[in-house]
Parts: sequence; C-alpha cells; structure tokens
Amino acid sequence: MTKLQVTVRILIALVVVAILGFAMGSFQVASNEAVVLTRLGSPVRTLTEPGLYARWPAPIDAVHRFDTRLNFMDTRLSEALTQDKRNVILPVFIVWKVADPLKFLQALGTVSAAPAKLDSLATSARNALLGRTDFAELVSTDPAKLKLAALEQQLTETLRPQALAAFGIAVEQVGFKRIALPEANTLYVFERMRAERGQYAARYRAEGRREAEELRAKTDAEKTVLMASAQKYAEETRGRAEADAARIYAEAHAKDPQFYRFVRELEALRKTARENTTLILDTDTAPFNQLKGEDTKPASPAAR
Amino acid sequence: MKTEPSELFTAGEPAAAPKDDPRPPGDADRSGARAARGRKAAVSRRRRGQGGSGAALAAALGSTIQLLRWLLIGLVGLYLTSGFTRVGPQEEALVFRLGRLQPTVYPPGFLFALPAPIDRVVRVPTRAQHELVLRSWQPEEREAGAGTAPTPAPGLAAVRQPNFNPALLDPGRSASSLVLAPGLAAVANPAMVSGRGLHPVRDGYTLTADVNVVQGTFAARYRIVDPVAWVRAASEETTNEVIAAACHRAALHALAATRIDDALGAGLSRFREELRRQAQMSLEELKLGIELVALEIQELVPPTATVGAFTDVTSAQVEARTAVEQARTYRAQLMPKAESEAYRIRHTADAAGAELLARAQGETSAFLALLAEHRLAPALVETRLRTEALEEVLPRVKFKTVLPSDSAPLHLYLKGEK
Repeated sequence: MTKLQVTVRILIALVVVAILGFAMGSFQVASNEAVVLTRLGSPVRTLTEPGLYARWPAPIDAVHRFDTRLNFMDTRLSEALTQDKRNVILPVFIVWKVADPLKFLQALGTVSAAPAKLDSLATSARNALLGRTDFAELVSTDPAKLKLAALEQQLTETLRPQALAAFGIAVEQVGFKRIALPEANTLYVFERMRAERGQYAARYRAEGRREAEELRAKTDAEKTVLMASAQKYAEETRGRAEADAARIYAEAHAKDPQFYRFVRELEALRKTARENTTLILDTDTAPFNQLKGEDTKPASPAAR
Repeated sequence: MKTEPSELFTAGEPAAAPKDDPRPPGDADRSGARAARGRKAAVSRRRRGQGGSGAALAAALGSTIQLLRWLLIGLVGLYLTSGFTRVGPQEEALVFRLGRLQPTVYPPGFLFALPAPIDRVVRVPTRAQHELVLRSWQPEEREAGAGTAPTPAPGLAAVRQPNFNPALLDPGRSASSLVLAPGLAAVANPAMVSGRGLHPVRDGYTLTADVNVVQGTFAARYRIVDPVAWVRAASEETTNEVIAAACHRAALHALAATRIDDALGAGLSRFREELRRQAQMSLEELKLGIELVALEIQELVPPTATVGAFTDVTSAQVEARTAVEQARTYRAQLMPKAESEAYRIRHTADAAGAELLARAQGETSAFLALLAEHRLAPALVETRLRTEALEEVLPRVKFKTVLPSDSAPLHLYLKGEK
C-alpha cells in the first residue's frame, strides 16, 4: 500500500465520520417552523430563527418542531342566549399559530391538542359577549344597529391575550361563519316566511289585476270617447249639410212656390208608387181629375 | 422550433429523474454509510485473500474492489447533482437553504439547487387558478329529492310548470326566478310538507336581516400571488379552510344586513362584488399572499320548506304580468279598431253631407231650368210633366180604380150575393 492510498483512505474515513457527525450533531430550523431543544427532557433552547444549529446526539437532546404556519379551527356548535333571551347558534372559527413554542410545548405538547382548548376559551368568551348583545344586533335591516363586526373584534381582543398567556398561541383571526337557530325555532321562521311570501303573492296578484282592470277600463273609456266624438262630428256634418240643402231648396222654392210644389209632388208620386201598389182615388184628386170629362165607366166592385 | 422543448426535456430527464423529490436529510447520511460499509467489506476480504490462498482469488477481489470504487464515485456524483430539478409550467419554486427561506422565486425551467440537506425545494402552484366550491350552506333538497322521489312529484311539478314562464319575465326579475327554478321540483317533496326544521349541524344556512333563512353554494377562485408569504403563512389545507371561512364570513356579514328579497333578487350581482371584496380583506389580514380572483354565488335560495311559497310569489308576479299583458293586448286590438270605426263614421258623414248638398244643388238647378221653361209656357210644361209622371207611375200600380166623386153611391157586390 502506497502512502497516497493510505492518505486517501484516511480522508474518506474522515469524510464519513464528518457526515455522520453532521447528521447526528446538527439540525435545521426552517423559516416556517420553530424548535424547542430539550436536553434530557428539560428545554434548553427555543429557536425561532431559521438556520443550522448544533445538538447532542439522540438520547441526550431532543428536537421538538412546531409548524409556525397558520392553523384553522371551528368551534363546536352550541346554543347561546342573547341579552333578550333568544337562543342562537353562532359558531366561531379561529385562525391561530404557535407564537411561543416553549409555552406551547409545556401547556399542550402537540398541535392536535390545541383546538379543544381554544374551543372552550372561545365558547365561553362568545357566550359572555352574546349575553350582552340583543338578537337585533346580530341581524338587522339597519346597518347602524348591526354589531357583528364589533363582536368579532371584541372576541379577538378577549381571546388573544388569554391564548398567548395560557398556551403560547397567537390568535390571528376570529370570525363568525354563520348564524343559526335551534331546530325547533326554524319551523316558526319557515311559518313566518311562508306567511310573508303569501302576502307578497297576494299583493302581486291584486296589483296585477288592478293594473289590468285599469288598463281595460281606460281602453273602454277611450274607445267610447273616440266613438262619441266621431258620432258628434257625423251629426254636425249631417246637420250642416241638411241646413245647406234646406237653404238651397228654399231658394228654389222662393222663385215659384206653386210650381215648386207641383214638381215636388210629381217627384214624390214617382218615388212612392211602386209595383203592386194599389191606388184608390176619386177623380177629383189631382192628377186624376185630368181624367174627368172622359167616358167614365162604372167602377168595378173589387177593391184589392 | 417545435421539437426543441421536447429535446430539452428528454436530455434533462435522466439527470433530474432520480432526484425529483427533495431528499430527506437522512438520505445523504445513508449513502455515506453505505459507502463506508462497502469499503469495510472490501478491506476485510482483501486481508483474507493475502493471508491464505492463491493469486486468482486476489485478482477477483481486486476487480470487485475496482467495481465498488466506481460505484462509489458514481453514487457521490449522483448525490452532488441530486439538487438539479425541474420546475413545472404551472408552478414556481422556492428554496430553503439550511432552513432559511431564500427570497428568490424560481420560474418554470431548470433549477440548480444544492443537494439534499443543504437545499430544500418547495414548489408553489402560482400560475394555476384554484377553485374551491363551498358547500357547507348547501340546501339538502338535492339528496332528498334524488333519493326518495315520490310518485306525486312529477304531477305536481307539471301543475306548477305552466305558471312559470320565464319568457314573460323581464330581465330584472329573471335573476330571482332562475335562482328559484331548481326548487320547483322540490315543491312536491313530502319531506318539507311535513315541516321538518333545519338542524344546525346537518343543514348549513344563515340568517338575513329580516330573519329569513337562506342557503347557498359559493365558488371561490384564488391565486397565490406571493409564494414567499404563502409558504411562510399556510399549508395548502389551511389555505382552503381559511378561504372558505373568509367567504362564509363575508356572506354572513353581508346577509345579516340584507333583506331576503334584495339578496335573492336583482341585488345578487351587486352583492357578489361586495362579498369578494370583504373576503379579500379578511385574507389580507392574515398576509397569506393570496388573491381571491372571484367569488361566485352559485346558488342562494330559501330553504326547501319555503320554496313553494317563494315559487308562488314568482308565479304571482308572472300572473300579474300576464294579466297586464292581456289588458295591453286587449287595448292594442281594440283601439285601432275603434279608431278606424271613428274614421269611417266621420267620412261617411262627410260623404252623406256632400251627397245631400250635391243632390239639393242638382235638384235645384234642374228645377230652375224647368222654371225657366215654365215661365214661357206654364200649361204646356205642367201637362207634359204630369203626363210623364203618370206614364211612369201608372204602369207600376196594380189596379187603377178611379171613382167619380159626384156619381151615385157606390154599390159593392160581393160574390154569392144577388
């Protein structure tokens, strides 16, 4: 074995030892986590800055990692009484993260233990707040009365110091996801909703009918007016024409009344005498008196 | 040009493939340990060969060692290049170097990161839009309707249908009726007729300002705009939960101040933008690095138990509009007719008047002409006129009986009388 070979082998051995040592004697803290280092069970360091850190190998030091990213939880559904003694269900969601890893480790140990603790904190805080709030401040047609946002704010302010002091948890956001009522109450709400809709439906129908009737009545009235005015015009026109005609006739009549009457009578005779007309006249009557003086026969008895 | 990217990929594949996932920190240790084990074995084998037997065995051992050496070098090389990776077209990558998140955001393409315990590559799907359908307020009518469809349902639905004619609705109202439309079939569902309440755990809903129950489904679309902030702040799962909560919270706040008619009807679209804004504010509070691109209200309906009543309101509106439309039709038909009738009357009157006048004038002028003749020879004209008239009239008259007025009294002899 040459000297070079020996050196190479020693170097390789050293590298292997260095890698092993590195693996056992160091650990990393990522930017989105925090670490509590315990030595034989008792915490010695809390690391929140990312980077590479040294440790004693396994049985001596233990690394407790905590994800410092956000966690999300919903509280369990439970009824609460408002100030005006109405039951509401106002579930709360909490966005939280580990802020003090040491305290978190000591108080809770694991992330999965946190929701239950936060739940009871949040529920009691919410119940206390609701006890000071009227139902009309939760839902209201008047935005000025609405206190939902203020309630969320107050709840956050209450929870934040408590959670931090007790569990090392930073409460980032607290909010309501829904407002619900106990199951039995919803039946009354449905009843009222149906009644309300019934009123609306009746009103729409009545309005529709009224509008339609009005339109029909208006139409009829307009039609009547239209016809009446046309009729009026017609009467007037006829009247005027009659008057004019009368005047014209009168002018003619004035020229020679006797002859006029004579001509008119002949005209009338022409017009009145039709087929099947039977005339019974004596010969004195004009124009049959023209026949007088002729050879008159005795009249035949039939008169039909 | 087209083949270039694929060539690039195939060339890159062998290098990238074995180490596609970031290696856990222990991996490097293991490969180191494996190398050490291999060496030890080789050494012991060689010792045995020297102490005991022939050159053949020594030669065999030598070649094995040679092989192991190359293997070792190969493994080391593989390890050193294990950080090379590819970032997909939909994503961007971030690097944790010794745990510390580097501020550089790596675009799609090759990423030359250092091997495992030093660098850790995290891919963030920034270029994709993520969709999240929020069903926790979803009305349960679908499951109930689909599962236990009762026989009277189709009949009742058919009865309802004629009332519901979307064509008669104006655009403003159609929004609400379209929302209500899916409920039509549910009218017949006996489950709600029996009047079961909504259970707070099983059925999601919230209350409006006028204490009405509303249910709905929403769809949120979001994008990760700041991967660094997002990687620091949240996991994918939490992100979805937080976005869902933010949307529901926004909807709750908005609905708590809105009457049900404003929420379900034409107000819906105005409402939507407000919701998105509120939810985005809620997300920004948490510095998630996420942008809510859209918050769609897929459905916002009254509970199934009251859908019938809501549908009835819609039908009432339709009926009202129909009645008014019919009245309009009546008017549209009647008025032109009346107008033309009036026109006709006026013109008939005009014509009649004109005729009357014309006749009078005609007759008068005829008379005047005759009068002129008459003045010249009265007797002649009169006789002629009279004769003409009689000639014309008498043939038409059936019996011409002329009784002398000064003759003896008239005796009528009836048939059969002597």
